[in-house]
Amino acid sequence: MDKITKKIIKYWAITRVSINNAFTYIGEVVYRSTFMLVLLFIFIKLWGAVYVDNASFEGLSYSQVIWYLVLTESILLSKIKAGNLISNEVITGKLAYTLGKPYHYLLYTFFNGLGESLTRLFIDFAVGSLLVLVLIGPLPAHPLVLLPILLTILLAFILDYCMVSLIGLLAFYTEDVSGFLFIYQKILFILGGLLIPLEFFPNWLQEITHYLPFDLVLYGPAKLLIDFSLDGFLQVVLQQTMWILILGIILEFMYRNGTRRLCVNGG
Amino acid sequence: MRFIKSELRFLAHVWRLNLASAMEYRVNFLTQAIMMIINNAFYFVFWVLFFERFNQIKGWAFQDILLLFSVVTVGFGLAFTFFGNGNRLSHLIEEGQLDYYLVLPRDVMLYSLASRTSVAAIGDIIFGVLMFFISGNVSLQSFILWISCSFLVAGIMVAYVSIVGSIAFWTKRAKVLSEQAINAVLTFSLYPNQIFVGSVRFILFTIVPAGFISSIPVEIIRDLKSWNLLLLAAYTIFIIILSRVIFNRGLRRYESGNLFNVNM
Repeated sequence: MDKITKKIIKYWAITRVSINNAFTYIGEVVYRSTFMLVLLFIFIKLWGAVYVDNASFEGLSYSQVIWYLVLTESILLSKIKAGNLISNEVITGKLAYTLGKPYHYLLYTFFNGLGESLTRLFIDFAVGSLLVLVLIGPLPAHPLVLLPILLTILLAFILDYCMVSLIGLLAFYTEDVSGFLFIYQKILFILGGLLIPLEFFPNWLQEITHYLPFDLVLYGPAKLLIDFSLDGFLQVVLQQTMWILILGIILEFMYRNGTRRLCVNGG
Repeated sequence: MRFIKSELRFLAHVWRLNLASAMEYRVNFLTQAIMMIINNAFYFVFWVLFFERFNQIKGWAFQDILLLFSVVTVGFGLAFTFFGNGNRLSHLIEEGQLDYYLVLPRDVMLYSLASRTSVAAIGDIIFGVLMFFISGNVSLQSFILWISCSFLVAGIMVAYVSIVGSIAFWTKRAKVLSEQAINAVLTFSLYPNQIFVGSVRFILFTIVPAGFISSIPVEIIRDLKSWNLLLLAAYTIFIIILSRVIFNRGLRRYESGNLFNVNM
């Protein structure tokens, strides 16, 4: 077995354990999705009031907007929550214990979080879809598009992980990173297009979002769900990969530089 | 009357202590308040973008949303600044931590709810005040109505969180239910109630009283419906009395836990 296959098997084993853990607390996962249901219900009514006299706005129908929201909210609620974890391990010095272990800390944290994230994603999307199916109607696309979209969601998770890990590693230099994480969440909320598709943004703001990576976390996959095209898919995947490479290199550099500064007091 | 005066004096003392305790960590105090203002501002950006594209929603214009945010955030801010334990009540009951409040010869419900100040809630108040002045609906009458509505909303909110928290006297794991109920009322109250019809609208004026803390106050302030203020006040008194009856009934079933804690 070559080295890469062994690595894949190792990290997949970590993800499998994480999936099993998530299923142990499946009630909690389902409970968390009820908040999404409340929010989705409100937005079904809100956009219903907007679309009462018009079949389409900015080329999007009522059904498309609602299905878009199902996916953006599912991704947001299920993405890997690594920022606080990493910053805490840096601050408390726990990170030092992982340095001698046979894995890369950042890869371990990602694959460990991925299991829970995938479980949450499937449950949130299923629960949200059920509500929308009953109140609005079926997905305005062929169900098979979910397969390529799953790839863009996976890349979205990686991209988001790169950004929150960068913030988490800032703990090497600053005492508290919670403020940065908070601001990142809010920027993702707006510029990612969580509650409103970017088509409804003023032109100048749409321009800005295309130069930034945030829309590739939420808007990119969700737009493909309601309006799939091969060109669009390739464009999203390409942009996501490019940003992951850029941020990944910065992340690795910051991690190596940071571990050199690591100083553990006491035991 | 003497009882009310004595309780108010006691509450004022508790609030002074809460404030002094919060001010002990000034940087943390300022950070939390500012974070809450930024948090609310980001939520509000959704409405800015929405009204950039659409002129109105069910008769509600951008100014009405500004008023809605002003009255809801100030109401919530007042509620959790002065009764910050409200959203932790079910936890206190489940963990048997009401013991602290039972040993003093004071009103247990008021004391337990008021014994914590949510610092972030002060940020809510500042944000709401800003929203009111930006809304352009500023006159002496609307200002008085806005202040009155905000206090009534705070009263409704405290009573509501107390009712859902008191469920813990009867059932286990009420913390989850209480959390969901508080999230639901907060979420529903930040959108115009007019978008909901039928049974949902009925729920918003009964089980989840979001209608009383959002649409009704906005109509009172915007249309200067002073008489409706009396109706809102009557509802506030009703729900406060209801919350006290439920809490006191539940308190009879309260069993202390075996956790040993020291209340500093």
